[in-house]
Amino acid sequence: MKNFWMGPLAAMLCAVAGAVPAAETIYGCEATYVSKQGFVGPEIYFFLDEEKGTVRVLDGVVQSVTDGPMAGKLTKRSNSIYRVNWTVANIKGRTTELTVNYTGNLYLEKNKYTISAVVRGYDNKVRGEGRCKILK
Amino acid sequence: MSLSSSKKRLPSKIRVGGCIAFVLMVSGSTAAGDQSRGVFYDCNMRVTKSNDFWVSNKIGIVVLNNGKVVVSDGVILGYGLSTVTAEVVSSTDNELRLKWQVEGGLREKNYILPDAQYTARIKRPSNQITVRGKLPGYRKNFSGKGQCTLRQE
Repeated sequence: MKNFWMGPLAAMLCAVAGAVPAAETIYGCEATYVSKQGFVGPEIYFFLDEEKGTVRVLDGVVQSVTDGPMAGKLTKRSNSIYRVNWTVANIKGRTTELTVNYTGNLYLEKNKYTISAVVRGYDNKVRGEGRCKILK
Repeated sequence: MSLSSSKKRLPSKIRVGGCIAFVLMVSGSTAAGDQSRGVFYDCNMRVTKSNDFWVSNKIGIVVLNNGKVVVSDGVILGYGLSTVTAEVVSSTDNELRLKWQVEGGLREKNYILPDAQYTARIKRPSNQITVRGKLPGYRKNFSGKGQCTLRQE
């Protein structure tokens, strides 16, 4: 009797599981190198939803202007490489508020990331790179 | 890089005096078992605008006879911990030097607490304390001075 129910039950569970959208995978990344100009923190978190094609980003800069992760634009470069673009505005500088455009590359297979940033109105070349791991 | 983010997430002033003493009392007795004899430095720190939050207005340090040192303060409690273990850098007749680290990271999938590293110097016999803190990866450093009251148990 038990076996009779196991097949349909398993199928039902699979169907339900399939209907639930995949949750975000959190990549916690620590910098091994950051340029000296600032604007790139020692750690950054990418909340990646491959199924939906969405990403949210959280680091010290984002956190200084928002209450939590901010949405970025996700571009799939290959099966295991994603590009993430996001812009942080209203960053308090010494004399004025700054806007910074960020581009990140997330290498899923290599567990690495790179980040580069352009501070609007300035020539600064800001970049960083490091290692990532999936957080549970 | 601004640290206002981290400060924004945490209470700017945590009133922790009795709480720290209790935490250290429980922690010390648990950690040391029957050998819970030691020295308790009950330290009142001068908090300024520049070191607010990162140097707590109250720091409790227990130096157990078995050599273990346990620290608790507003930062540690603010990070959701009760105590952290400190390392004795040096201990002489003139001073005691300690260092400890408070580990941060992603909390509630919503905000980041940075790692914080501290050193403390307690002068003997005046028991004046100087605490220096830094957040690895960030430029800003913090420091504060205060006066400890020694309690032997």
